[in-house]
Amino acid sequence: MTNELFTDDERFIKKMNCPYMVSWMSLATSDDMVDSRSRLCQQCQRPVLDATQVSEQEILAMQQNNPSLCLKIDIDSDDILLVTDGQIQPYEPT
Amino acid sequence: MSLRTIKTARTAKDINEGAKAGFRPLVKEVKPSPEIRTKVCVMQHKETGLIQLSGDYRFTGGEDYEVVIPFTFYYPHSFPSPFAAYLVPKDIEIGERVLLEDLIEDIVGWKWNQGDAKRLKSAEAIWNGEDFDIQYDEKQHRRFVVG
Repeated sequence: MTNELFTDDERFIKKMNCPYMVSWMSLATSDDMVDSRSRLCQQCQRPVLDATQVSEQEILAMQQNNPSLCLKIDIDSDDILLVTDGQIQPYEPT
Repeated sequence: MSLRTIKTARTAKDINEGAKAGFRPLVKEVKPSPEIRTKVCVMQHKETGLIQLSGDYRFTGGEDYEVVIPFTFYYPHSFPSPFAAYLVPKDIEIGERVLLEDLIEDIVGWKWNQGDAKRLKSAEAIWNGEDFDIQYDEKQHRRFVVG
């Protein structure tokens, strides 16, 4: 998988990548957050938005205003489709 | 507090270069796990012949496409050697918590309800004097992706 996130009508949102490998469960909730749908990442001090709480349009708008927006998505959600990019590299044992 | 990152060398050349640089290579066998698998369905456009891929049972391309290879599972990773090594700093102490940047062990990172299981790329671990005890909670990493 490329970890790229798209809207239902195939508009690119962002590539999911966390260099700190943080897990959603470990992010502390904070009463100081402006947006109650977000949790603060202690590693990079950026808010991580729970994508299940917002619409695609809101995410797109937020992403355009803030390209470094971090998201949390639930891959078990019916709203998420996983597709590949055509670059299959089958396992070949040496 | 940031953790020290432990690098992984995946070729004999890189392992020996790590040793020459002062690290102690902890050599391990690279063993593909049968639990780790990805599925793919190949669809071909009826007119153009272009193909599209899907990894999701809910998406099979629509009317303009025909399925030429139905969903099939495969092991999606290819490594340069059947062995690799963590480059262990000589000043590491028992009990030190580190980040293994490139896991050698095949550990399931998350599972999807459609049968796919993805490999864990990195994990925190604790040095026990001889090896790294990988600290991984499947429930925490299982389904939520942050990025």
